[in-house]
Amino acid sequence: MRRFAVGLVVAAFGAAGLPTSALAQGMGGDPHDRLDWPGSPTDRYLTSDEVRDRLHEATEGFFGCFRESLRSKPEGAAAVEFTIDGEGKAGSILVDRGKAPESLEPCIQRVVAGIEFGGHDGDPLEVSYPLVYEVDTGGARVLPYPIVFTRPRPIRLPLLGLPLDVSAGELRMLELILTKDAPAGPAEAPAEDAPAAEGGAESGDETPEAPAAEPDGSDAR
Amino acid sequence: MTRPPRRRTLAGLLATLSVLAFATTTAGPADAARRSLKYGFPQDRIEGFAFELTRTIETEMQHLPAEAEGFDVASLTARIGTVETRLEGRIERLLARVFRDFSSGLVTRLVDLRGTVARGGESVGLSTDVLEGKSVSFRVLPSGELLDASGWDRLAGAGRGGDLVSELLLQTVMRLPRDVPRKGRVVPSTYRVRVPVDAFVTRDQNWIVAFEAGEAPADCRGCVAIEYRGEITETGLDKHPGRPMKLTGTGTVSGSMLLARGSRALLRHAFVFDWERTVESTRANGTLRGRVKQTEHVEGTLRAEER
Repeated sequence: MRRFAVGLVVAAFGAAGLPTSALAQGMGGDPHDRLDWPGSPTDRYLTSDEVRDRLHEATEGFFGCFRESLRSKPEGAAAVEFTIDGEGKAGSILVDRGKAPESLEPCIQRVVAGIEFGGHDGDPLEVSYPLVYEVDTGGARVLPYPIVFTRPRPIRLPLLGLPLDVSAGELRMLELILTKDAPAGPAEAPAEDAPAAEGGAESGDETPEAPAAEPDGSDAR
Repeated sequence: MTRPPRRRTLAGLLATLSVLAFATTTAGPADAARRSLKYGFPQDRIEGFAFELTRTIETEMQHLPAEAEGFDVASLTARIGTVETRLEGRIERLLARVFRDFSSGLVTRLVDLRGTVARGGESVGLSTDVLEGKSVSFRVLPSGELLDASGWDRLAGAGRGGDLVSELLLQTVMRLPRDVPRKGRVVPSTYRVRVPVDAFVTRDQNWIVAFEAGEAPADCRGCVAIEYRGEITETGLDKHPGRPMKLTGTGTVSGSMLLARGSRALLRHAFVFDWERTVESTRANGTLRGRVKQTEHVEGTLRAEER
């Protein structure tokens, strides 16, 4: 009878298939069911992880550039900066070639321009990607860098309803009034003297910096 | 031959467990079994809705910290004191995914936007570039119950327009009553709407709504018309260490919806919100720093476009 009952339990769980997998997934469920799971059809925003994956797929192309351009430099680092528009195309590609020869630049630009990052609904994404290389007897090698640097726009005063055309100065004033603690001691200086780190932008800056104390580190993955 | 009592208990427990497991896996959501009114989300095309939205928001600085003395608060208040924003355009909606619990993953995108803004006088054109093409994703049950949402972090925050369009986007899948209300009868309902913005910011709304049967237009035979009105309480919290704030608000909502015959696709939705919100910022030691009171009136309409 006991064996029968145990068998019944196994059959019920096994036939359904779901509870065992649900138990394995834990309380949060399958992470692939998250709306913003990278690559999910419901996720229309690029993450730095997705950008990194595309760049890693292009490592062979980068490798080719370095192999053609470098003969004697033993090792070094270059970097490429670009923006990804809503259609997933890279633009404004700037190459910081470091000590590498000039011929590296157009080659790297061609490789980056050829990468399909995928369409997205976000603002043009600013990306910076280090290209670390070394040259040995076998030729040049490019080491896929584990992170890319992106610059997400900070969220500013998200609980307030403000006009869409609020100016950068007005917004900064509100931030300084509402969210920036006064320093101990004499009266605080007005906006011009205030450091921009906590609230977001510098005064009059149209594309503000992210808050310095961004605890999630979302700008570098 | 008799089994020991402990074994008998264990066997009984296992048998009960197996029956429960079978029942939970074969049955759908209990709500779905009894519900007769559900949305139809077309799976083979992008739905289009034309929308119009008017928001009038009044902002009053109720408590200013001493630090505000160095600023020209009067000019700031004049700029944000009373602002009327009109926005019109289209919403494109795509059923991107059906989850294992039969909930739908919808991508809802704002396109072709045009706007004006007025501060007591003549209205002037408003740049809507920052909102154009932005989307949010909803995971909803066929009843309209919101299970999850994402993308708000790309819209939220001053100057990005998320606060302007949040009601509009949420009303594209407003929760439906269980059944079509009968004439003259009011169907009360309560539910919660949670808007997760990011790891720091959440907004929660509790809705108490009464649904009634509405009048479907004569040229829409078999369509379902529903009217509703109710009250909403809202709380919001910003736990970001650089801008600690909390929001409390109450509001009223009313509206009317028209669903298509058969497919139960949304044909039209008109809604009105009246909000009173208080946003307080706190200092590092938890004491009050500033308090802003905002009164908001939102009117909107969504109309399904011809296929």
